[in-house]
Amino acid sequence: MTLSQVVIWSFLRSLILATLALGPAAVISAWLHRRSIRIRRWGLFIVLVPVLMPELLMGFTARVPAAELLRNRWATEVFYGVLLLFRAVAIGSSVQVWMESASVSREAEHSWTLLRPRMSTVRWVIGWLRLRCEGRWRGPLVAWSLMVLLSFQEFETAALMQLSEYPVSWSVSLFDAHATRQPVSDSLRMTILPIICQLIVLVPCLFLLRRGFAVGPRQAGGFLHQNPTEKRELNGSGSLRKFVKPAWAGVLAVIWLAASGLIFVFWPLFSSSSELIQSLLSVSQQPGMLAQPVQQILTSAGFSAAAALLAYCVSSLLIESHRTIAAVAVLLPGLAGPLVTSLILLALFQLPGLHWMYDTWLPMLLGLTIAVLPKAWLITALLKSRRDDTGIHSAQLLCASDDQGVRMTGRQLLWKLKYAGWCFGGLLICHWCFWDVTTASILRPLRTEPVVTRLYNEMHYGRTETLTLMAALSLILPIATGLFLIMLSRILTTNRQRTQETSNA
Amino acid sequence: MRARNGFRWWILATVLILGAVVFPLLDQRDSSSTLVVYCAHDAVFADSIIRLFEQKTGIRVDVRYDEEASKSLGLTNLLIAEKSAPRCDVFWNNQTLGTIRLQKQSVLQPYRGSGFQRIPDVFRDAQGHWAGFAARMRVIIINTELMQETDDAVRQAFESGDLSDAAIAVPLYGTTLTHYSVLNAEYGLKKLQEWHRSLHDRGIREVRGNGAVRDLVAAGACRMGWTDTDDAFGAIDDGKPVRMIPARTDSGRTIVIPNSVAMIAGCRHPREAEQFIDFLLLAEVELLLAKSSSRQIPLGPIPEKDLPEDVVMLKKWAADAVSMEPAAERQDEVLNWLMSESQQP
Repeated sequence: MTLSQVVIWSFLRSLILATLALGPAAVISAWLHRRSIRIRRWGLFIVLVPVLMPELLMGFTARVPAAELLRNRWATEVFYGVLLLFRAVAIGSSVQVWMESASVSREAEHSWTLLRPRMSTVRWVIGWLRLRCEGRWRGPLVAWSLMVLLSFQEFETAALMQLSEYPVSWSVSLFDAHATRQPVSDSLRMTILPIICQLIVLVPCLFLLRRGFAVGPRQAGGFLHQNPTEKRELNGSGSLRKFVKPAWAGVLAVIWLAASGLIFVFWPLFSSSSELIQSLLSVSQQPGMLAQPVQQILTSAGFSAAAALLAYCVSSLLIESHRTIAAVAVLLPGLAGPLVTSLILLALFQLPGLHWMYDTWLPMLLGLTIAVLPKAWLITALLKSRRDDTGIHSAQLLCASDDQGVRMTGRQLLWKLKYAGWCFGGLLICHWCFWDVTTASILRPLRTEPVVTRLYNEMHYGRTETLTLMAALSLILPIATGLFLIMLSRILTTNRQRTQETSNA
Repeated sequence: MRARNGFRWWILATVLILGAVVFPLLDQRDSSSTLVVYCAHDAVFADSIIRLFEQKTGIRVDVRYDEEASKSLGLTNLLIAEKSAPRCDVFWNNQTLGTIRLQKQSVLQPYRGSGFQRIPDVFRDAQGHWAGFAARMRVIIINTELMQETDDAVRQAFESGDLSDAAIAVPLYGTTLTHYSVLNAEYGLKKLQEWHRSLHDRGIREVRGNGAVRDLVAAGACRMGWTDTDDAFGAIDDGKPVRMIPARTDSGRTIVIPNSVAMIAGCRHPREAEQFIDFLLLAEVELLLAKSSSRQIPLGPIPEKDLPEDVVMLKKWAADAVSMEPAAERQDEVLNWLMSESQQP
């Protein structure tokens, strides 16, 4: 296959998977919206499990069983597609849960329908599409764009699973082309088509989200404090009810989540259970053996947090500048994929003026930031588009109440409305940076070894105790630390406000 | 809004300055006397050797290991990218063709030290740009529950019309590329292409890396496959039902792939680099690598009684080794063909 064919194959697969994922994502998000706030919060975490399970580990888990079971190339392609589908549904349903309700009411849509005899068909259809895109289709469209982007950019699972050229993946083909010693300029030229494919999806999404900022302060939205009994029009949930009854939607959602748990948690855990038990026994006898992996994990987590912070800042500045062309220009390098971006940065830092910074953290930090920027931009845009100024103002009023209980409720509400989304979004961006093997392997400074590159090396020796222990720690430790820091920030924020109030009094 | 934007610019600037300036300054280790080694050999085996060198000489070594993600080609490409201002002093490669490529690109400088003389001519560059030591070998790994580990059984399997239960790594990199280059030097490109297409027409499973070949055969997903001795020993030591026989060319030669060591041209610590190269080429180091679980074959003279049983067997196979020089000459031809092959509609 030529690279163009491979790119088109990968793009079509991403489009098909994202479209297929819309149904399950809508069912799961609608089901979550009907749950109580606590269940919704935990539900969202469970929904995100396929995204939190790194591509690297999933590819390693699936490599041998897939080859044992699948004797046909197409079967490998379908199996890979199923893994991507679960990831797409996870991200799609989370986005739809986070996106607020439609900003165009049913009444407005109906009024437009009444105008049909008075307008030319073309003008009416354009207006109707605009109302839909800014209304009930907005959430699913943004989710669809993100699902296409994530499926298209996948590299590690495809690379580890690939058997006789299947699954077909443009990112793997690009790596192979680089392996045949082609110059970076050629690799860069090869990324033009993949970038165009991603822009086709990203630019409309960019405009769609920009419309969200322009609408102004949101009505009381946000999934964390919505009353589940309130009859609000969710993204696409009206049309969903035509196809699936709410009771069945619940059953389907639970089945889907159980299947994703089986594939993305139980399978990797079960396939490494004996090594995991052995490694835990070894650790209980020699706790000192944890020191080096923990140090590497914390170093990687530090890099990831710094890269996530940078990506957040750049995304926020881009969004608030309201310059679409500038935004596209800044996001472009990230769309080329981590391999080409890292190779270009490597070449840049060999230049005489920049070489003194070559063996520092800077190249890797920049590489991670650039690679994650398109995803970070989408998350930032989502968070900004659902910023609930009215809700924040109300929470601030509650904080000024004479009643201590009301004040506490106000403080907690304020944290949820102002900070919770940013914290959890940041955790996801950190997670992506943490597991970016390509950037780390090309740009890491000499004296720093991120845990992910060591894990990759350990994979060469098959399923060993060391690998299992390191993989488990790398998976659990950063997420647990992140969640702990988020809880801590919540406590500190609410307490700081309380202290301020006391001193004011 | 302006204040918030200003705050974000401050965060951006702070993180960048911390990354570029402050954190490196916090690293108190003296880099002026620290030897920098790029090592493509597996860290689990190489690390103890490097630490032994540190103990013996008192010279501190900073090592950059290769990643499986970009095995072998990663460090070779990195050295070419860094050619104008090298960070590395010594390159310890786990094969020779990449090192010969570096020599052609003038990345290496010659050094013929004390250890150089004990390596046979066929495994070293005459001018001293590099020297080979402790080798691996290409082998056919066989699942003994699915077929017999004999040359006849393997020959019959390869002559059959169906190879869907055999595996080979993608020949674009690693030792499979070396294998293809050797075959190219022996058969010529046309015959290699016919052989390659015949394997694919009969459904051979092409996977990404020799480790994957080993895993498929060990798990019984394939009956046999081409891999390296160190990978095959990994599965044998894990108690998997596998054995190996040497992969031979039509002329009966085996493919022996030594580690190689070379000094980087314009490196910052030439004196320490010489000491390290001399150390790696010692019989003591070859013996340590022979006794490691990767069972590397010593190339210099070492009494047979000191070697593990497995390595004695490998050494006999290695006596039929093919020369790597012609393969290195024709490696680009293989790569160009494979790349054009993968671009076929």
